[in-house]
Amino acid sequence: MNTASLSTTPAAGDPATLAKWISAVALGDRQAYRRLYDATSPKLFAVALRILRDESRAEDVLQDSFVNVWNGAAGYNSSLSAPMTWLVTIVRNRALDYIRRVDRRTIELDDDLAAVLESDQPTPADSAMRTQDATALDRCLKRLDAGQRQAIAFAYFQGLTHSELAATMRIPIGTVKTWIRRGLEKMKRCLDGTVT
Amino acid sequence: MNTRGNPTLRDQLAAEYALGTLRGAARRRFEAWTLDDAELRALALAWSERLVPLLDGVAPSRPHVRVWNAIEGRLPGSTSRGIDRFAAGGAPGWWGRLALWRGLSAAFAAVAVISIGIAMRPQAVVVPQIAQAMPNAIATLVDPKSGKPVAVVMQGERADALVVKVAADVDVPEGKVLQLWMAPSDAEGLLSVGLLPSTAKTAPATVIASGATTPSRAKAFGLSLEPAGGSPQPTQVLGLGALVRMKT
Repeated sequence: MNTASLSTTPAAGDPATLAKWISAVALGDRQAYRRLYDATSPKLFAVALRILRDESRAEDVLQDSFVNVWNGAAGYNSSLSAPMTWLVTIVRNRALDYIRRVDRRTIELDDDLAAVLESDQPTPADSAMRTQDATALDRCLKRLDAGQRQAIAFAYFQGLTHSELAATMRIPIGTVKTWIRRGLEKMKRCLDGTVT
Repeated sequence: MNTRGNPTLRDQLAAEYALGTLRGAARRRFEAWTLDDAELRALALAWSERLVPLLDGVAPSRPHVRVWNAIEGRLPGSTSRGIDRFAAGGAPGWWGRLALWRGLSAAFAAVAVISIGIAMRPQAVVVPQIAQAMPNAIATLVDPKSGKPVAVVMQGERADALVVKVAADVDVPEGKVLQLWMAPSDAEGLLSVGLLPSTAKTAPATVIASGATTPSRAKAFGLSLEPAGGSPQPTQVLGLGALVRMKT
Protein backbone atom coordinates (compact mmCIF):
# COMPACT_ATOMS: atom_id res chain seq x y z
CA MET A 1 0.00 0.00 0.00
CA ASN A 2 1.42 3.37 -0.94
CA THR A 3 1.04 6.61 0.94
CA ALA A 4 -1.59 7.96 -1.41
CA SER A 5 -3.98 5.08 -0.86
CA LEU A 6 -3.30 5.20 2.87
CA SER A 7 -4.39 8.77 3.09
CA THR A 8 -7.64 7.90 1.37
CA THR A 9 -8.39 5.06 3.80
CA PRO A 10 -11.56 6.08 5.57
CA ALA A 11 -11.13 6.77 9.27
CA ALA A 12 -13.04 3.69 10.30
CA GLY A 13 -11.72 1.59 7.41
CA ASP A 14 -13.67 -0.55 5.00
CA PRO A 15 -14.99 -3.44 7.12
CA ALA A 16 -14.48 -6.12 4.46
CA THR A 17 -10.86 -5.09 3.91
CA LEU A 18 -10.17 -4.88 7.64
CA ALA A 19 -11.68 -8.34 8.16
CA LYS A 20 -9.52 -9.73 5.35
CA TRP A 21 -6.40 -8.26 6.94
CA ILE A 22 -7.30 -9.69 10.35
CA SER A 23 -7.65 -13.18 8.83
CA ALA A 24 -4.28 -12.77 7.16
CA VAL A 25 -2.75 -11.64 10.48
CA ALA A 26 -4.09 -14.84 12.05
CA LEU A 27 -1.90 -16.71 9.58
CA GLY A 28 1.12 -14.62 10.49
CA ASP A 29 1.04 -12.15 7.60
CA ARG A 30 3.10 -9.15 8.68
CA GLN A 31 2.26 -7.03 5.69
CA ALA A 32 -1.45 -7.32 6.42
CA TYR A 33 -0.65 -6.50 10.05
CA ARG A 34 1.13 -3.32 9.03
CA ARG A 35 -1.77 -2.31 6.79
CA LEU A 36 -4.23 -2.97 9.58
CA TYR A 37 -2.12 -0.84 11.90
CA ASP A 38 -1.82 2.01 9.42
CA ALA A 39 -5.53 2.02 8.69
CA THR A 40 -6.82 1.77 12.24
CA SER A 41 -4.19 3.05 14.68
CA PRO A 42 -5.09 6.77 14.38
CA LYS A 43 -8.67 6.06 15.42
CA LEU A 44 -7.68 3.54 18.08
CA PHE A 45 -5.02 5.87 19.48
CA ALA A 46 -7.63 8.63 19.76
CA VAL A 47 -9.93 6.23 21.63
CA ALA A 48 -7.16 5.30 24.09
CA LEU A 49 -6.20 8.94 24.49
CA ARG A 50 -9.77 9.93 25.40
CA ILE A 51 -9.84 7.38 28.19
CA LEU A 52 -6.29 7.76 29.49
CA ARG A 53 -5.76 11.48 28.83
CA ASP A 54 -2.04 10.95 28.65
CA GLU A 55 -0.04 10.45 25.49
CA SER A 56 2.53 7.98 26.81
CA ARG A 57 -0.09 5.83 28.57
CA ALA A 58 -2.19 5.79 25.41
CA GLU A 59 0.91 4.70 23.46
CA ASP A 60 1.47 1.84 25.93
CA VAL A 61 -2.12 0.72 25.60
CA LEU A 62 -2.04 0.92 21.79
CA GLN A 63 1.15 -1.11 21.74
CA ASP A 64 -0.24 -3.82 24.03
CA SER A 65 -3.49 -3.87 22.09
CA PHE A 66 -1.76 -4.49 18.77
CA VAL A 67 0.34 -7.27 20.26
CA ASN A 68 -2.98 -8.76 21.42
CA VAL A 69 -4.32 -8.37 17.90
CA TRP A 70 -1.34 -10.30 16.53
CA ASN A 71 -1.76 -13.10 19.04
CA GLY A 72 -5.54 -13.18 19.05
CA ALA A 73 -6.43 -12.55 15.41
CA ALA A 74 -7.49 -16.18 15.00
CA GLY A 75 -10.10 -15.57 17.68
CA TYR A 76 -11.79 -12.88 15.62
CA ASN A 77 -15.19 -13.95 14.35
CA SER A 78 -16.44 -11.74 11.55
CA SER A 79 -19.97 -13.08 11.83
CA LEU A 80 -20.22 -11.83 15.42
CA SER A 81 -18.73 -8.36 15.25
CA ALA A 82 -17.47 -5.79 12.79
CA PRO A 83 -13.65 -5.56 12.64
CA MET A 84 -13.56 -2.04 14.04
CA THR A 85 -15.80 -3.05 16.95
CA TRP A 86 -13.46 -5.93 17.73
CA LEU A 87 -10.41 -3.65 17.63
CA VAL A 88 -12.07 -0.88 19.64
CA THR A 89 -13.15 -3.42 22.25
CA ILE A 90 -9.57 -4.65 22.65
CA VAL A 91 -8.26 -1.10 23.05
CA ARG A 92 -11.01 -0.01 25.44
CA ASN A 93 -10.60 -3.11 27.59
CA ARG A 94 -6.86 -2.54 27.83
CA ALA A 95 -7.34 1.14 28.58
CA LEU A 96 -9.92 0.40 31.29
CA ASP A 97 -7.54 -2.20 32.73
CA TYR A 98 -4.76 0.36 32.71
CA ILE A 99 -6.63 3.07 34.59
CA ARG A 100 -7.57 0.55 37.24
CA ARG A 101 -3.92 0.74 38.24
CA VAL A 102 -3.52 4.48 37.84
CA ASP A 103 -4.63 7.19 40.22
CA ARG A 104 -7.18 9.47 38.63
CA ARG A 105 -8.05 12.04 41.25
CA THR A 106 -8.88 14.80 38.86
CA ILE A 107 -11.11 14.23 35.93
CA GLU A 108 -11.99 17.08 33.71
CA LEU A 109 -14.79 16.65 31.30
CA ASP A 110 -13.84 17.07 27.74
CA ASP A 111 -15.14 20.47 26.65
CA ASP A 112 -15.22 19.61 22.96
CA LEU A 113 -17.22 16.53 23.73
CA ALA A 114 -19.63 18.44 25.93
CA ALA A 115 -20.16 20.94 23.12
CA VAL A 116 -20.89 18.19 20.62
CA LEU A 117 -23.32 16.54 23.00
CA GLU A 118 -25.20 19.71 23.72
CA SER A 119 -25.50 20.79 20.13
CA ASP A 120 -28.26 19.36 18.01
CA GLN A 121 -26.11 19.34 14.91
CA PRO A 122 -23.19 17.06 14.15
CA THR A 123 -19.96 18.99 13.90
CA PRO A 124 -19.00 19.82 10.30
CA ALA A 125 -15.85 17.70 10.51
CA ASP A 126 -17.88 14.65 11.50
CA SER A 127 -20.76 14.90 9.13
CA ALA A 128 -18.79 13.98 6.01
CA MET A 129 -17.75 10.62 7.39
CA ARG A 130 -20.74 9.84 9.52
CA THR A 131 -22.04 6.39 8.90
CA GLN A 132 -25.66 5.32 8.86
CA ASP A 133 -25.13 3.62 12.20
CA ALA A 134 -23.78 6.80 13.68
CA THR A 135 -26.74 8.79 12.39
CA ALA A 136 -29.16 6.31 13.96
CA LEU A 137 -27.27 6.33 17.25
CA ASP A 138 -27.15 10.10 17.19
CA ARG A 139 -30.89 10.29 16.69
CA CYS A 140 -31.52 7.84 19.52
CA LEU A 141 -29.13 9.64 21.87
CA LYS A 142 -30.97 12.89 21.24
CA ARG A 143 -34.15 11.27 22.50
CA LEU A 144 -32.60 10.72 25.91
CA ASP A 145 -32.74 13.22 28.73
CA ALA A 146 -29.67 15.43 28.81
CA GLY A 147 -28.39 13.78 32.00
CA GLN A 148 -28.78 10.26 30.63
CA ARG A 149 -27.06 11.23 27.40
CA GLN A 150 -24.15 12.90 29.14
CA ALA A 151 -23.60 10.09 31.64
CA ILE A 152 -23.54 7.48 28.86
CA ALA A 153 -21.30 9.49 26.56
CA PHE A 154 -18.80 10.42 29.27
CA ALA A 155 -18.66 6.86 30.52
CA TYR A 156 -18.00 5.55 27.02
CA PHE A 157 -15.61 8.24 25.76
CA GLN A 158 -13.63 8.82 28.90
CA GLY A 159 -13.93 5.54 30.73
CA LEU A 160 -15.45 7.08 33.84
CA THR A 161 -16.82 4.84 36.60
CA HIS A 162 -20.17 5.44 38.28
CA SER A 163 -18.50 7.23 41.17
CA GLU A 164 -16.26 9.31 38.92
CA LEU A 165 -19.31 10.33 36.93
CA ALA A 166 -21.12 11.25 40.15
CA ALA A 167 -18.21 13.38 41.35
CA THR A 168 -17.70 15.01 37.97
CA MET A 169 -21.34 15.70 37.24
CA ARG A 170 -22.00 16.59 40.89
CA ILE A 171 -24.96 14.28 41.29
CA PRO A 172 -25.57 11.34 43.65
CA ILE A 173 -24.16 7.99 42.50
CA GLY A 174 -27.63 6.42 42.69
CA THR A 175 -28.84 8.97 40.15
CA VAL A 176 -25.91 8.19 37.84
CA LYS A 177 -26.72 4.49 37.93
CA THR A 178 -30.41 5.11 37.23
CA TRP A 179 -29.66 7.52 34.38
CA ILE A 180 -27.30 5.07 32.75
CA ARG A 181 -29.56 2.07 33.14
CA ARG A 182 -32.66 3.88 31.87
CA GLY A 183 -30.72 5.66 29.17
CA LEU A 184 -29.27 2.41 27.83
CA GLU A 185 -32.68 0.72 27.86
CA LYS A 186 -34.24 3.61 25.98
CA MET A 187 -31.36 3.69 23.52
CA LYS A 188 -31.67 -0.01 22.80
CA ARG A 189 -35.40 0.24 22.16
CA CYS A 190 -34.81 3.17 19.83
CA LEU A 191 -31.93 1.52 17.93
CA ASP A 192 -33.53 -1.89 17.63
CA GLY A 193 -36.68 -0.27 16.30
CA THR A 194 -34.65 1.56 13.69
CA VAL A 195 -35.06 0.35 10.14
CA THR A 196 -32.14 1.44 8.01
CA MET B 1 -24.03 -16.42 40.41
CA ASN B 2 -26.15 -17.86 37.66
CA THR B 3 -27.69 -15.13 35.56
CA ARG B 4 -29.29 -17.41 33.01
CA GLY B 5 -32.77 -17.08 34.45
CA ASN B 6 -32.73 -13.30 34.41
CA PRO B 7 -32.66 -11.89 30.87
CA THR B 8 -33.10 -8.27 31.99
CA LEU B 9 -30.14 -8.43 34.36
CA ARG B 10 -28.02 -10.18 31.72
CA ASP B 11 -28.68 -7.47 29.19
CA GLN B 12 -28.00 -4.74 31.76
CA LEU B 13 -24.69 -6.30 32.72
CA ALA B 14 -23.73 -6.74 29.07
CA ALA B 15 -24.62 -3.11 28.39
CA GLU B 16 -22.58 -1.76 31.30
CA TYR B 17 -19.72 -4.05 30.38
CA ALA B 18 -19.65 -2.64 26.85
CA LEU B 19 -20.13 0.89 28.13
CA GLY B 20 -17.24 0.41 30.55
CA THR B 21 -19.05 1.22 33.81
CA LEU B 22 -18.90 -2.41 34.94
CA ARG B 23 -15.51 -2.37 36.65
CA GLY B 24 -13.09 -4.14 38.91
CA ALA B 25 -14.07 -7.55 40.23
CA ALA B 26 -17.52 -7.33 38.64
CA ARG B 27 -15.95 -6.78 35.22
CA ARG B 28 -13.61 -9.75 35.60
CA ARG B 29 -16.47 -11.92 36.85
CA PHE B 30 -18.54 -10.98 33.83
CA GLU B 31 -15.63 -11.85 31.52
CA ALA B 32 -15.30 -15.24 33.22
CA TRP B 33 -19.02 -15.92 32.69
CA THR B 34 -18.80 -15.11 29.00
CA LEU B 35 -16.27 -17.90 28.50
CA ASP B 36 -18.89 -20.56 29.06
CA ASP B 37 -21.90 -18.57 28.03
CA ALA B 38 -22.01 -17.81 24.32
CA GLU B 39 -25.32 -16.00 24.62
CA LEU B 40 -23.95 -13.61 27.22
CA ARG B 41 -20.92 -13.04 25.01
CA ALA B 42 -23.25 -12.23 22.12
CA LEU B 43 -25.21 -9.76 24.27
CA ALA B 44 -22.00 -7.88 25.15
CA LEU B 45 -20.93 -7.86 21.50
CA ALA B 46 -24.32 -6.54 20.44
CA TRP B 47 -23.93 -3.69 22.93
CA SER B 48 -20.43 -2.92 21.65
CA GLU B 49 -21.87 -2.73 18.15
CA ARG B 50 -24.58 -0.36 19.33
CA LEU B 51 -22.15 1.95 21.11
CA VAL B 52 -19.20 1.95 18.72
CA PRO B 53 -20.72 4.51 16.30
CA LEU B 54 -20.30 7.04 19.14
CA LEU B 55 -16.64 7.03 18.17
CA ASP B 56 -17.36 8.22 14.64
CA GLY B 57 -17.09 11.74 15.95
CA VAL B 58 -13.67 11.18 17.53
CA ALA B 59 -10.98 12.78 15.41
CA PRO B 60 -8.22 10.31 14.52
CA SER B 61 -4.81 11.05 15.94
CA ARG B 62 -1.80 9.39 14.33
CA PRO B 63 0.43 7.83 16.99
CA HIS B 64 4.17 8.48 17.06
CA VAL B 65 6.29 6.12 14.94
CA ARG B 66 7.91 4.76 18.11
CA VAL B 67 4.67 2.89 18.87
CA TRP B 68 4.93 0.82 15.68
CA ASN B 69 8.62 0.26 16.30
CA ALA B 70 7.86 -1.04 19.78
CA ILE B 71 5.11 -3.32 18.47
CA GLU B 72 7.38 -4.71 15.79
CA GLY B 73 10.03 -5.34 18.41
CA ARG B 74 7.59 -7.50 20.35
CA LEU B 75 6.71 -9.76 17.43
CA PRO B 76 8.53 -13.04 16.88
CA GLY B 77 12.04 -12.35 15.63
CA SER B 78 11.90 -14.31 12.43
CA THR B 79 10.08 -12.97 9.40
CA SER B 80 9.93 -16.31 7.63
CA ARG B 81 6.79 -18.37 7.60
CA GLY B 82 6.01 -21.81 8.88
CA ILE B 83 8.19 -23.98 11.04
CA ASP B 84 11.02 -21.46 11.30
CA ARG B 85 8.75 -19.26 13.32
CA PHE B 86 8.38 -21.92 15.97
CA ALA B 87 12.11 -22.31 16.12
CA ALA B 88 12.29 -18.57 16.76
CA GLY B 89 10.04 -19.13 19.77
CA GLY B 90 7.51 -16.61 18.61
CA ALA B 91 3.77 -16.51 18.77
CA PRO B 92 2.40 -16.58 15.24
CA GLY B 93 -1.34 -16.75 14.61
CA TRP B 94 -3.12 -19.81 15.88
CA TRP B 95 -4.17 -20.94 12.45
CA GLY B 96 -0.66 -20.63 11.13
CA ARG B 97 0.49 -22.97 13.84
CA LEU B 98 -2.46 -25.31 13.51
CA ALA B 99 -1.85 -25.74 9.81
CA LEU B 100 1.28 -27.69 10.65
CA TRP B 101 -0.65 -30.27 12.60
CA ARG B 102 -3.58 -30.59 10.27
CA GLY B 103 -2.00 -33.18 8.09
CA LEU B 104 -1.76 -35.76 10.85
CA SER B 105 -3.10 -39.13 9.80
CA ALA B 106 -5.36 -41.19 11.98
CA ALA B 107 -2.56 -43.71 12.39
CA PHE B 108 -0.18 -41.06 13.62
CA ALA B 109 -2.82 -39.79 16.04
CA ALA B 110 -3.32 -43.25 17.46
CA VAL B 111 0.40 -43.68 17.99
CA ALA B 112 0.58 -40.28 19.65
CA VAL B 113 -2.26 -41.18 21.98
CA ILE B 114 -0.52 -44.33 23.07
CA SER B 115 2.73 -42.49 23.63
CA ILE B 116 1.09 -39.68 25.58
CA GLY B 117 -0.91 -42.21 27.56
CA ILE B 118 2.28 -43.88 28.65
CA ALA B 119 3.99 -40.60 29.29
CA MET B 120 1.07 -39.34 31.32
CA ARG B 121 0.42 -42.39 33.45
CA PRO B 122 3.41 -44.68 33.63
CA GLN B 123 1.41 -47.41 35.40
CA ALA B 124 -1.36 -47.79 32.81
CA VAL B 125 -3.01 -46.21 29.85
CA VAL B 126 -6.42 -45.22 31.14
CA VAL B 127 -9.13 -45.33 28.54
CA PRO B 128 -11.87 -43.00 29.68
CA GLN B 129 -15.15 -44.83 30.07
CA ILE B 130 -17.13 -42.26 28.22
CA ALA B 131 -14.97 -42.56 25.14
CA GLN B 132 -15.09 -46.36 25.26
CA ALA B 133 -12.25 -48.36 23.79
CA MET B 134 -12.45 -46.71 20.40
CA PRO B 135 -13.12 -43.00 20.38
CA ASN B 136 -14.87 -41.50 17.36
CA ALA B 137 -12.34 -38.75 17.06
CA ILE B 138 -9.03 -37.81 18.63
CA ALA B 139 -6.94 -34.68 18.74
CA THR B 140 -3.43 -34.86 20.10
CA LEU B 141 -2.42 -31.43 21.31
CA VAL B 142 1.25 -30.79 20.76
CA ASP B 143 3.49 -27.98 21.97
CA PRO B 144 4.17 -26.10 18.71
CA LYS B 145 7.70 -25.28 19.81
CA SER B 146 8.99 -28.57 21.18
CA GLY B 147 6.65 -30.97 19.39
CA LYS B 148 5.97 -32.62 22.74
CA PRO B 149 2.41 -33.91 23.31
CA VAL B 150 0.67 -31.97 26.10
CA ALA B 151 -2.89 -33.32 26.01
CA VAL B 152 -5.33 -35.61 24.26
CA VAL B 153 -8.91 -34.65 23.44
CA MET B 154 -11.26 -37.48 22.59
CA GLN B 155 -14.83 -37.66 21.48
CA GLY B 156 -16.73 -40.85 22.21
CA GLU B 157 -20.27 -42.06 21.76
CA ARG B 158 -21.85 -39.04 23.37
CA ALA B 159 -22.00 -36.32 20.76
CA ASP B 160 -21.74 -33.47 23.28
CA ALA B 161 -18.98 -34.85 25.47
CA LEU B 162 -15.24 -34.45 25.20
CA VAL B 163 -12.77 -36.31 27.30
CA VAL B 164 -9.58 -34.41 27.99
CA LYS B 165 -6.42 -35.74 29.53
CA VAL B 166 -3.57 -33.35 30.17
CA ALA B 167 0.00 -34.62 30.43
CA ALA B 168 1.16 -34.88 34.04
CA ASP B 169 4.24 -32.77 33.42
CA VAL B 170 2.31 -29.73 32.20
CA ASP B 171 3.10 -26.99 34.68
CA VAL B 172 0.09 -25.02 35.97
CA PRO B 173 1.41 -22.28 38.27
CA GLU B 174 -0.58 -21.04 41.27
CA GLY B 175 -3.40 -18.74 40.17
CA LYS B 176 -3.45 -20.06 36.60
CA VAL B 177 -5.94 -22.34 34.89
CA LEU B 178 -6.04 -24.51 31.80
CA GLN B 179 -8.50 -23.43 29.13
CA LEU B 180 -9.66 -25.54 26.20
CA TRP B 181 -10.32 -23.97 22.79
CA MET B 182 -11.98 -25.24 19.69
CA ALA B 183 -11.61 -24.19 16.06
CA PRO B 184 -14.71 -24.95 13.99
CA SER B 185 -13.60 -23.14 10.83
CA ASP B 186 -11.07 -20.63 9.60
CA ALA B 187 -13.70 -17.90 9.55
CA GLU B 188 -14.81 -18.36 13.14
CA GLY B 189 -11.36 -18.60 14.66
CA LEU B 190 -11.00 -20.08 18.13
CA LEU B 191 -13.89 -20.43 20.53
CA SER B 192 -13.55 -21.11 24.22
CA VAL B 193 -14.87 -24.55 25.15
CA GLY B 194 -14.28 -23.95 28.83
CA LEU B 195 -11.87 -24.22 31.72
CA LEU B 196 -10.45 -27.61 32.65
CA PRO B 197 -10.61 -28.84 36.22
CA SER B 198 -7.24 -29.04 37.96
CA THR B 199 -7.72 -32.82 38.09
CA ALA B 200 -7.37 -33.11 34.29
CA LYS B 201 -3.67 -33.81 34.83
CA THR B 202 -4.26 -36.87 36.96
CA ALA B 203 -7.48 -38.33 35.49
CA PRO B 204 -9.36 -37.73 32.24
CA ALA B 205 -11.86 -34.90 32.61
CA THR B 206 -15.17 -34.85 30.80
CA VAL B 207 -16.23 -31.57 29.25
CA ILE B 208 -19.78 -31.17 28.01
CA ALA B 209 -19.99 -28.69 25.16
CA SER B 210 -22.97 -27.56 23.15
CA GLY B 211 -24.04 -24.72 20.87
CA ALA B 212 -21.24 -23.12 18.89
CA THR B 213 -18.64 -25.36 20.51
CA THR B 214 -20.44 -28.67 19.99
CA PRO B 215 -17.74 -31.30 19.29
CA SER B 216 -19.18 -32.23 15.89
CA ARG B 217 -18.17 -28.80 14.58
CA ALA B 218 -14.56 -29.08 15.74
CA LYS B 219 -11.69 -29.20 13.30
CA ALA B 220 -8.97 -28.63 15.87
CA PHE B 221 -8.43 -28.01 19.56
CA GLY B 222 -6.06 -25.85 21.55
CA LEU B 223 -4.97 -25.73 25.17
CA SER B 224 -3.78 -22.56 26.85
CA LEU B 225 -2.66 -21.30 30.24
CA GLU B 226 -4.79 -18.41 31.49
CA PRO B 227 -5.26 -16.30 34.60
CA ALA B 228 -7.87 -17.60 37.09
CA GLY B 229 -11.31 -17.28 35.58
CA GLY B 230 -9.98 -17.77 32.05
CA SER B 231 -9.63 -15.33 29.17
CA PRO B 232 -11.77 -14.28 26.23
CA GLN B 233 -8.79 -14.97 23.97
CA PRO B 234 -5.90 -17.36 24.41
CA THR B 235 -2.82 -15.77 25.96
CA GLN B 236 -0.27 -18.54 26.52
CA VAL B 237 -0.66 -21.42 24.11
CA LEU B 238 0.48 -24.78 25.41
CA GLY B 239 -0.63 -27.09 22.64
CA LEU B 240 -2.58 -27.40 19.41
CA GLY B 241 -3.89 -30.33 17.46
CA ALA B 242 -6.15 -31.18 14.56
CA LEU B 243 -9.09 -33.45 15.26
CA VAL B 244 -8.78 -36.75 13.46
CA ARG B 245 -12.04 -38.64 12.95
CA MET B 246 -11.56 -42.37 13.38
CA LYS B 247 -15.02 -43.43 12.24
CA THR B 248 -17.23 -41.91 9.63
